[in-house]
Amino acid sequence: MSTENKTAQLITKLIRETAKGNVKWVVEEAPRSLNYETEQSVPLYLQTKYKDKTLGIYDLRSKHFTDVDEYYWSESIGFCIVDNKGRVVWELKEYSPALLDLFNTAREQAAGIDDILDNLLSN
Amino acid sequence: MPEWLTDLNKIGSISSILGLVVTIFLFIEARKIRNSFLRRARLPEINKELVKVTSNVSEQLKNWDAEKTPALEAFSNVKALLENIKPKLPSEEKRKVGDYLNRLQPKKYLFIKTSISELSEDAAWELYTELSGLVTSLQQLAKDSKWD
Repeated sequence: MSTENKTAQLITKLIRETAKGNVKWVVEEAPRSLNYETEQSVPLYLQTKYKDKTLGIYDLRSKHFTDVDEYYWSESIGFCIVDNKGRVVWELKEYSPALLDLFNTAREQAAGIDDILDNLLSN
Repeated sequence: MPEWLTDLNKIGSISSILGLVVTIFLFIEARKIRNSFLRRARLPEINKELVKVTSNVSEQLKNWDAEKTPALEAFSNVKALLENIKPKLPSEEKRKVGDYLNRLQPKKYLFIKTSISELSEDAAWELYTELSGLVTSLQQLAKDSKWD
């Protein structure tokens, strides 16, 4: 099985496990290599421990230059594996609907949106 | 009959055959151009809808234990969109979409397609993973189509 297929299966597995509450995501500072000395910005980074590995998923804003001083920003989702010193050892930036779904599922869980809404709706 | 008339007949026959070949070639090319225009117009729209229904599939699959019908309905929407776009795709993508539709409803006894409602939870999540990959490849095709 190719790395691409294995990654797709891992993403689906993480969506399932997150929905069941077996995987917990928390908002963390993004690893340095994602935010510093690059033409990109990571406004939201979520991290979890899964089978002793640290996994991260993040909102990625990238600068694309059309001329020397003209550029536009594009938004995508990134997924990475981080080592115990906080270095990104593997990264996936190719867009897929499943990656976006994982990001949204993780974000909802990290924000505790269910509890917030329940609390707001309670008398 | 003079010999030059027989030769003229032969030239006429060869020209007719050549004309038929050119007509068939032009017919195939015209179909390709028509499909290319349809693809450029419709594929970006259908891709947007496919992204929405793919997210909906995952949302509904999360609640499979409580109620599986909405997830199965979401797969039916996926099927309708893919069947719509399939005839407009180039052969490689058409094959991928065809393979996916066959997996969505595998054939029983060679002819009869099984119902989407017979899907198990694991099979449904596997189909979701494949759908995500398929949508990504259709999005790449839409980008390529801009250069056709």
